[in-house]
Amino acid sequence: MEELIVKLRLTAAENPDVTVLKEQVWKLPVVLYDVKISRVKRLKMDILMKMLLFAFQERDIRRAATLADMLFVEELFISDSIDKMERTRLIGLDKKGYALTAKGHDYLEKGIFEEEMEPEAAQIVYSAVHDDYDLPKDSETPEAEESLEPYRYAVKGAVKKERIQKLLSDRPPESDEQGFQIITTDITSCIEHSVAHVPCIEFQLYDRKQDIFYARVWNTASASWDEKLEKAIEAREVMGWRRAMEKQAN
Amino acid sequence: MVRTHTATYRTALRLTNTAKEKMRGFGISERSFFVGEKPFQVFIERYPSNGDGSLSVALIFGGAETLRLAGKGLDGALVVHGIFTNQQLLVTNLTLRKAYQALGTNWQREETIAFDQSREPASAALLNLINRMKPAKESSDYVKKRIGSWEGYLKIQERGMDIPDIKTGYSKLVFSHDFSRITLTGCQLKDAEWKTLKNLTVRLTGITGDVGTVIKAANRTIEVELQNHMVKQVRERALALDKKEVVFSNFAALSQIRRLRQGFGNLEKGLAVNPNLDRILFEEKPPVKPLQAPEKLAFHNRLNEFQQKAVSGAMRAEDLYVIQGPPGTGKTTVISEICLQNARKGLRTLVASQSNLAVDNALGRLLANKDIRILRVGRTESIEEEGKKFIEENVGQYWKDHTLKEITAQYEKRQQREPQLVSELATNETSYAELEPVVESLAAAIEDKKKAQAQHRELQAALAAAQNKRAAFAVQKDKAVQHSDELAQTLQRLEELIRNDLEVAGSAKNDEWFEGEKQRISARVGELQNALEFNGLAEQLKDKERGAEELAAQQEQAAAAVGKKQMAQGVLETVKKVDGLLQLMAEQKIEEVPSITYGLNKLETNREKMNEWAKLNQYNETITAAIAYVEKSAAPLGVAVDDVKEGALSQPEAFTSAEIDGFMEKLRTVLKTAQRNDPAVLKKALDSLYKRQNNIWRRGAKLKTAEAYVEDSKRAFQGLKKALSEQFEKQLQQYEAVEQKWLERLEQAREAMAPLEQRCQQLKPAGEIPEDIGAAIRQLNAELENLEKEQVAYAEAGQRLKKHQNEHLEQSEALEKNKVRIAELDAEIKRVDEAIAGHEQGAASLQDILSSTPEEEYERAAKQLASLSFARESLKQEMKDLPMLQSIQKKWLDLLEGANEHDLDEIRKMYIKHANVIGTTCVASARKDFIDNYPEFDVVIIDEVSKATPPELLLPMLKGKKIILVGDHHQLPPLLGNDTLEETLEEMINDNSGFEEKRELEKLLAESLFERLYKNLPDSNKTMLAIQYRMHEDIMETISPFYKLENDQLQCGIADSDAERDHLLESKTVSRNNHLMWIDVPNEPASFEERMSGGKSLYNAAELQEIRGLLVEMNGAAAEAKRAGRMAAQELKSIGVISFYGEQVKRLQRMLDQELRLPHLAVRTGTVDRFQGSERDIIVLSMVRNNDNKHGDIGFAKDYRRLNVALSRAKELLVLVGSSDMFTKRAKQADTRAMYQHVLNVVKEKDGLKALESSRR
Repeated sequence: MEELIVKLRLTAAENPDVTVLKEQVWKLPVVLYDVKISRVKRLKMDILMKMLLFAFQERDIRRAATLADMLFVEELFISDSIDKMERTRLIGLDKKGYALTAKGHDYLEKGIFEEEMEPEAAQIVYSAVHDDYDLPKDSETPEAEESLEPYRYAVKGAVKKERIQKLLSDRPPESDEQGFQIITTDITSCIEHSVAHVPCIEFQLYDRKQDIFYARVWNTASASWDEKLEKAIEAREVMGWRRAMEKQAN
Repeated sequence: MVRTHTATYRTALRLTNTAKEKMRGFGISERSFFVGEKPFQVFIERYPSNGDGSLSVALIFGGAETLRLAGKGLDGALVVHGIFTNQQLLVTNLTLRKAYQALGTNWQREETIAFDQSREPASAALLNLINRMKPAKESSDYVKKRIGSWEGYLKIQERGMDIPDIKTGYSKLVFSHDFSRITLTGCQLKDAEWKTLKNLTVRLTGITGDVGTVIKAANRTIEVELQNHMVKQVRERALALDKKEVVFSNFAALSQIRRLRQGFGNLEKGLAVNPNLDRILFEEKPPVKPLQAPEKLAFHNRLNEFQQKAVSGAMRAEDLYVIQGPPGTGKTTVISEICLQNARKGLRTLVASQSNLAVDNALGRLLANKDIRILRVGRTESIEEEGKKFIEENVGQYWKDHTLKEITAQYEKRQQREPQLVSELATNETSYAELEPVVESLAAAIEDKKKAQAQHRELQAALAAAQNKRAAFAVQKDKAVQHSDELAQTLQRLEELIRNDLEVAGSAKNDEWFEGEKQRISARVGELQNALEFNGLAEQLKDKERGAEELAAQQEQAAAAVGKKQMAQGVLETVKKVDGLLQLMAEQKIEEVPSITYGLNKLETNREKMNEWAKLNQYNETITAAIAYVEKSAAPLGVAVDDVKEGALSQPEAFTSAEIDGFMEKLRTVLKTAQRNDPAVLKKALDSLYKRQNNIWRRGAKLKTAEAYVEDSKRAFQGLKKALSEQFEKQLQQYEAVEQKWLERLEQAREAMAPLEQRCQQLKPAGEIPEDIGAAIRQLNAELENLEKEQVAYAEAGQRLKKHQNEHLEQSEALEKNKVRIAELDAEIKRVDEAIAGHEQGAASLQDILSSTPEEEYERAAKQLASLSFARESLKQEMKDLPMLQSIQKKWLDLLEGANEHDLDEIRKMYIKHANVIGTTCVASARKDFIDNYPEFDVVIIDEVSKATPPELLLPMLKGKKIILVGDHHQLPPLLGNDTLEETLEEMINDNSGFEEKRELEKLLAESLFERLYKNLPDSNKTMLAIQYRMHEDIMETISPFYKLENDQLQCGIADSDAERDHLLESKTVSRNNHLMWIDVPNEPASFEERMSGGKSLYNAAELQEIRGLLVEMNGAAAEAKRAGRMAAQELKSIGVISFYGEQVKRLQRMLDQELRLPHLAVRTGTVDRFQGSERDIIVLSMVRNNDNKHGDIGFAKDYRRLNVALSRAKELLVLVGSSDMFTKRAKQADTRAMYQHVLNVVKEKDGLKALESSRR
């Protein structure tokens, strides 16, 4: 840690015009949640094609335009899909309109059919300050020492289900079974597991030449200079730093 | 360009020996042209015609056709060069064209041609086709020449381009406080390399991708501006840059320029989709095609008249349409509408602009409409948030979002529809029931009216007939009355005539009298004619007498001449000497006949011979005496005289008299000297004397004696006299003959006079004869003629009188008859008038029923009834369909809501396939992958045209059949890199980089392509959007003058500016009704501009302080507005603080970051140039320039376009901060001062001029 701070200080104050006014380490709280999700497995099937199969099953339709109005979908898309389904013999045109072939019925059934899967448990990390949802890092991130001050502008935020669901849905698929996909259908539970504390190293800096006060905050979890935290501190404190310095000068 | 071809042309083909050889070289058989008579697909290029005017062409065989012809692949396309002689194709050469050279350019035509070996001429259609083509080289040269004028742009950007990548280490890398820049020190670079660094892209080992661009390289320090999207990576990798290595490269810039150059090349090659593009771009009057016929467009957006005109114009234009869009006039709305209209027509549109930001702005404001499928193409990292949803990977999501939104809305609306339907149906039925009887009664009323109308029509017909009759009678009466008048007049005239004739017939003269008078006058005429003849004869007689007297005189003269001759004959007998004869001959004019001449000559010769004889005689005596003397002297001296004499005589010689005289003289002289004793002299003298004596003797021997000559002369003289006498006799005879002749003529004359005298005697007049007999005769003849005329008139008058008296009788009878007819007609008219009155009365009684109008009411009611019935049917149908539709849409909603990426993948692919609005930057439109995917567009719309350079504009233009340009040449021209054009030029001059075309370049930059096209296009192909919706009208007034030369004046489209552009702030300086303000900084040293040491940009500290105070005040006012409920709690007032100068902007930003906290404001800073295209609620403009130097320099602020941009960014409030004196009084140029004076005047008028707050000073 000390080593890191030295390196960071060197980098932050590499410019000879810049002096470090203050340097401190504190902890940023992030919350770990245990999340349970329900999942289903179903055949990958194009949404428009599925809808068209439904529609043809329900109603006598001859013209793509009729569907275009009903579904508010460009007629070209519908024509393309119809062509494709005719080519693959999922549908055929009879006197009343398009009708599903036996193959079509079979296909639609498969598309609708969803295999319930075992619910899955997962863990996510939520930083309220950043409004950021993430999966826990594989690598070990240093846990802040108890003694450290917490981040002075920490906020409490409530997690949003959709964001969690999106995060988990966007994970790369596991073993990809041919033609099937696993879909996260719902978050069944979301329980706060613990609060982790990410150590952050803050430098308050002054650029003499430009007469500029600014902050640099190293976030050890993301291993980067954290813009969000820097901006938050600057917005609240920069004017104070200036006043303090002017006072000192007087 | 693929064209469809139907016709196959035919031509015979022959080859020259060169061509045959070339074919063998390529290994092609001659016959392969003709195999199976199968036609070839070839590209025809025309060349300039030969001297003899024969067509010259190249036929280019594409890859497949070359393969067919050659039987193998060749490295390129086979080109057959030929000319048409005698309408037959003669192939002169074959070459290979590089495979990468484009086929199917605008200078070529792709056609199908079959070749044969016949001797028949090529088809006329083919020859005509080639004749109509423009030679490829000419077209290409034309473009090359014109495009040369655009080279300047590339030259600027190409300065110092040609450098390889520079890789070097560095010792230190410092990030700026906000990670917007890095500073590198300790780079190992050569001096020359330092100079080339600016504008190169920068890569850092350890970070993928270009991190940014060098903006400054000086004092061994390099400043790099980081790209926005790199900042995140840089923040993460900041600690990992262990290798300390940097690479500078101009690859990106070079490839950009290469693309621009390629655009030039493609235009030259004729690769523009619109074959007329070059002419449209370069000709003074762009040869645009006329617009298509207008069609009724259903606009999706609410458009003002100018926007409608622009959209329909753009739709109707065939090739080019230009839209001039001043600030805030809804250019994007117009673009959006055009895209939609194109989409509805199935056309694909490219929306291009110079910058990514502008493309994204334009796309972001397009409609979310199912007909429009927008796709943003470009490097993802440089696409702004607005455009992100349209990139390939996101369009599926975008499609889902807006489809879901639409379906949800429809579904929800329909859910409330069922009860509505029921009630609507009920209402409908009630209305129908009420309306039905009304309609029936109206129908009955209509029936009644129809009957009345029929009756009325009958009455009208009878009335018309009666009126016709009455009119006819009236006409007849008029005629009769007129006839009576005419008759009376005729009678009066006849009476007059009769009176006149009676006068003539009743006079004393009658036929007998006329005859007597005639005889009397004729007799007198006879007398006078005799007298006239007598006078003539007397005259003739006198003449004859005079002739006779003359003849007598002549005869006497001739008799006298005879007498004279006879006397002269007497004289001749007495003449004794020749002279006397000669004198007589002269006197009597005797002709010298030959006998006389002979006589005279004879006498002369004789006289000469006698003279010669006398002379010789004299010489003989002298010489003989001399001989005697010399002989006497010589003999004693021993001269052998005889020998000498003999010698001399043996050689006879001839001597003239003069010579003899000369010799004798000489001899006499010699003999007087001592030489007389010299024997030699004497001998010689003697010899000479003998010779001369001998000569004289010989000459004397030829003559007769003198007596013989005398005798001969006497005989000659007598002969002469005789000859003369003969002549005299002849003359005398002649004279006598003349006298005889005259005598005869005299006799004749006297005989001729006798009859004349006799006739005279007979004619001698008896009575009185007037002097001028001719006149008297003429007068008498005239009298006679008159008399005859009078006699004829007398006879005629008698006849007329009889005739007129008859006529008078007839007419009098007619007049009586006519009077009776008139009386009859009056009676008829009276009867008809009575009938008319009866009909009129009948018609009036029908009027009430006729004027009622049950039809309209009926029509309305019937229509209403029909529509009610129709509505009921459709309501019933809707009722029936509703559950089905609802169920389908519900299903669709569920599917959409649950759709994930996989489900949307197909949709995404279809969306991309059918994308019909593609957005990209100008330069990116020339990227290879883009060209491959989108070779051409039906319509290319280029936004913010005035901000792009012509080479940039050319790239998207090349791709469009139709081009629509949108821009405003009254705003700023293109930026080059980070700099304005002026800055770039200034820098180039300072660099002294040897750029000589500066003047030419300045000219080039002064007028933009957009401006030129806009000015030169016909009105049909351009529109200015003249209604702006951004600025409060007070603010708009400041920029109106910039557009006053356009056809339409800039107008404000905001109905109530004060209400809709209320900034809601109330403070010490700013009040609610201020929308335009100028905070006036004094033109004093304390407020003057300053320059950074070593920097070129200016700043103004006094203005900074003023703006600081103003912003604090506004922040407070916004807080107050929130407290008062005028503003929402979360709302931020958007403010732009802008300046003409970059340094001032930098300082403003620093002030905002470091010294101010303005939680109620959203403040953005930027240069005026960078703010073009943006808008804010409030704009504060820091004008910076304030000085007292003589030139009154205000730098970039003098460009009206920059001022226009600066003034037109604000919606609600514009605050200028600067010295009004500096800009309106001290500025150098009069028009600059006037420009700012106008702004100041408007500010004053709006009560917005404020002196600098003293507390802040």
